[in-house]
Amino acid sequence: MRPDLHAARRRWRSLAVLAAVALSALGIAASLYSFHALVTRFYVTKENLVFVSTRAEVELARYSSSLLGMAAARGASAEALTEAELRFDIFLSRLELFRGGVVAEALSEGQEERALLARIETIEPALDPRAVQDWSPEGMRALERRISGVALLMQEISLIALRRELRSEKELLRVLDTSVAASGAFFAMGTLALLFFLRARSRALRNAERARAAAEAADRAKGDFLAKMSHEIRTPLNAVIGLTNLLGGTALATQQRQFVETMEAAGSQLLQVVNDVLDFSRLQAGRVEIAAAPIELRGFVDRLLLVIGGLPGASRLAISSSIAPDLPARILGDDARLMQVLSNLLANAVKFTREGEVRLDVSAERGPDGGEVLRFAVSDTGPGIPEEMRDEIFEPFRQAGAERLRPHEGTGLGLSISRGLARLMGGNVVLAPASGRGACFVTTIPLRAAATQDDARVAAPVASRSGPLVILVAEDTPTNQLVIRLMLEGLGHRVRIAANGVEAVEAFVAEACDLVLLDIQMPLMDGFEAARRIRGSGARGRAVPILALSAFTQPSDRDEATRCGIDGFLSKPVRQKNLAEALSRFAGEAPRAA
Amino acid sequence: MLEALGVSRTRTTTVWTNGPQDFEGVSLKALLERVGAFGDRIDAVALNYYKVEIPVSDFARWPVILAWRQNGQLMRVRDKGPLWIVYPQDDFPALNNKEAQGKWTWQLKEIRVK
Repeated sequence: MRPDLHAARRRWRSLAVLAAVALSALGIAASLYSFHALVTRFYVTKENLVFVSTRAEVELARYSSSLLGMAAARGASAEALTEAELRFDIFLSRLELFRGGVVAEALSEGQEERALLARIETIEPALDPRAVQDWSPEGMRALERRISGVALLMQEISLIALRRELRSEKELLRVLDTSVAASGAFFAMGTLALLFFLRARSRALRNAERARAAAEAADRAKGDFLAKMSHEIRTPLNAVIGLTNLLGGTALATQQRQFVETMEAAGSQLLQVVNDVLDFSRLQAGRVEIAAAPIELRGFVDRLLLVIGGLPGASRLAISSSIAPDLPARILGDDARLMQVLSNLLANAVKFTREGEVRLDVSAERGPDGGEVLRFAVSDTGPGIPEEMRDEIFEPFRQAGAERLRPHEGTGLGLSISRGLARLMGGNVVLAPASGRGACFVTTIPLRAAATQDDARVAAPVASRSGPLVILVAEDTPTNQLVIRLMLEGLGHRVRIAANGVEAVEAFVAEACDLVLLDIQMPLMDGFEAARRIRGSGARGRAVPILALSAFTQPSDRDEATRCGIDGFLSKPVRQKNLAEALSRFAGEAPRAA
Repeated sequence: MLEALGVSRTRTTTVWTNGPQDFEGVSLKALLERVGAFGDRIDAVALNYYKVEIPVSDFARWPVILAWRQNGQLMRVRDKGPLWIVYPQDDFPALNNKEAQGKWTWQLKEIRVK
C-alpha cells in the first residue's frame, strides 16, 4: 500500500474513533438529562395517581364503615349522621383531586381515563347521606349497593393508576438502560481511542527517532567527507606550496622568479579557498568546536599584525594597533578562531585599501545583555562599504562591489565565516555605521579574564643553543618528507625522517635529537600516540621539544595534542619562515632568513 | 377567634388545583407565638388521621399560613377545609417539591407542639 494512502486511512480511522467517542458521550449526556427530567417530575409532583386513587378508596371504605354505625343505631341518629356526613365530605374532597391539579392533568391524557372522569362526576348525588330519606334496612342496603358500585369504579381507577405507574417505571428503566449502554460505549470507544492514539504516538516517536538517527548518520557522513576532503586536497597542495616556496629560494632568472612567485600566490589562494569552503561547510553543519584557553592579549595582537604585515600590499599602508589600558593582560578564548576572524577582517582591510592606514583597536564595552564584551575594531581608509551593501556583505559568496568592480580574489565566504565563528564564540561581527571614509568592522566576544599566572607550557625553559639542530621528522607522505627536509636543511639543520609514529619512537629511542616534528595523521601510529610514547620514554623524552605538524582545524585536536605533551603547532602548509620562527621559539634557535 | 390574630394572605398555585389560588388565614408563626408554644417541631394531624411533622423553623423561614378561606370562600371539608396549612410555593422555588408539598396539611384537626 502506498504510504499516503496508508496515512489517509489511518486519519479516517482516528476520525471515526473520535466521532464514536463524541457520539457516545453525547448519548450519555442526553440519556442522563432525560433521566434527570423524569426523576425531577416525580419528585416535584407529589400527588401521583396511585396515591390519590387508593386514598379515595380508603375514604370511601371509611364512609361505608360509618354507615354501619347507623345500622347499629337502627336509624339515623344525629351523631352517627354527622360522622357519616364528615366521612362523605372527606371522600368528596379526595374525589375533588381528580378534577383539578396535576392528577387531573395526568388523567386527561388518555381516552380511558377521560371516560372514568366522566363517571366520577355522577357519584356525588347518589351517595350523599344528606340526600338519603329512607334509613330503613332496605334503604341502607340500596345505599350499600351504590357504594359497592362506586368502590368498583375507584378500584378500576386504582388499577389504571398502577398501569400508568408501571409504564413510568419502565420508561425510567429504559432511559437508565440507555445511559448504561451509552456509558459502556463511551468507555469502550474511549479505551479504543486511547490505544489508538498511544499507538500513533509511539509510531510517531519511532519515526522521529529513525529520522534523527538518519540525520545524524548523514551529518557524520558529511563530516567524514569534509575531513577526508580536507586531508586529500591539502596534502598535495601543501607539497606544491612548500616546493614552490623552496624553489623561490634557489637561483632563478627574473622571469622564472616571477613565475614561481605567481605560482606560490596562486597556491596560497587555492588553499585559502579550500579552507574557506571547508570552514563554511563546518559552520553550516554545526561541526565547529570553540575552545577556551588563556590568551595573552598583547602577544595575540602582535602575532596578528605580524601575519597581516606580511600580506602583499601591506607595505604601502600604515598598520597600527591599540589596546585599551583597562583590559586584562590575559583573556579566555579560542586563540585560533579569534585569530581567524580578525586576520580575515584585517586582510580584507589591507586588500581593499589602496593607501592610508589599517587599524586594530581593542577595548572593552558593555554588551547588549549587560555583560562586558571585548571589542576589536578593524578600520581602514579604503573605499568603504556602500550603504545598500551593509547587510549583503555578510551573506555567503558576496563581495562589496562585486558587480561594478573587477571581482576581488577570494570566495566571498570570509565575512560570513567570520561572523559565524564570532557568533559561535558568543559574540558577533558587525559593520560599524559609516563615519567619514573607509570601513570599520567590529568584532565582539564576551570578555572573560584569565588567571594572571603564566602558563607553564609557554614558560617552559628551553635550553638555548646555537648551531645546527638534529631534528626528527615523522611524516608519511614522501613529497612532504621532501619539502620539510629541504626546508630544514635549508635552515642549516640535520634531518632524520621517520615514515610513521612507530618508526619515530624507535628512532628517538635509538639516537638523541634536539627537536621532534610529528605529523598527526600517519599510518600504524598517529602523532598523538607517538608524542605520548616519546614523553614516556624517559628523561630525554620528557625534555625534548615536540611540535605537531598538521592541518589542525578542530580545537579538540589541539586539546588532545596538549594532553599528549605536544609543545607547539605548525600548521600546513609549512613555510620556511614559520618553521624558522617555531624552531627559535621552542629550541632556542635564532631565526634565520628563509 | 383566629381572625383576631390578624389576617395573612398568600397567593400561590398548588399541585391539587388549577390556576393561582388566594388563601386567607393566620400566620402560623404568629399563632404559635400567641399561644405561647415552645418546641422545635409540630405534628399536624388531619381529619382523616393524616399526620406530618413540621419543623417550627419553617414558619420563620417562610410566611406559612393556616388558611380558612380559599378564593374568598370559607373552606368546607369537601374543599379541604376548614383549615389548610399553606406554604407560599410560588414565591420560593425551594418549596416546589414533594417534601414541602407533604406539609400542606388540609382538613387540619389538631396541631401538637413537640
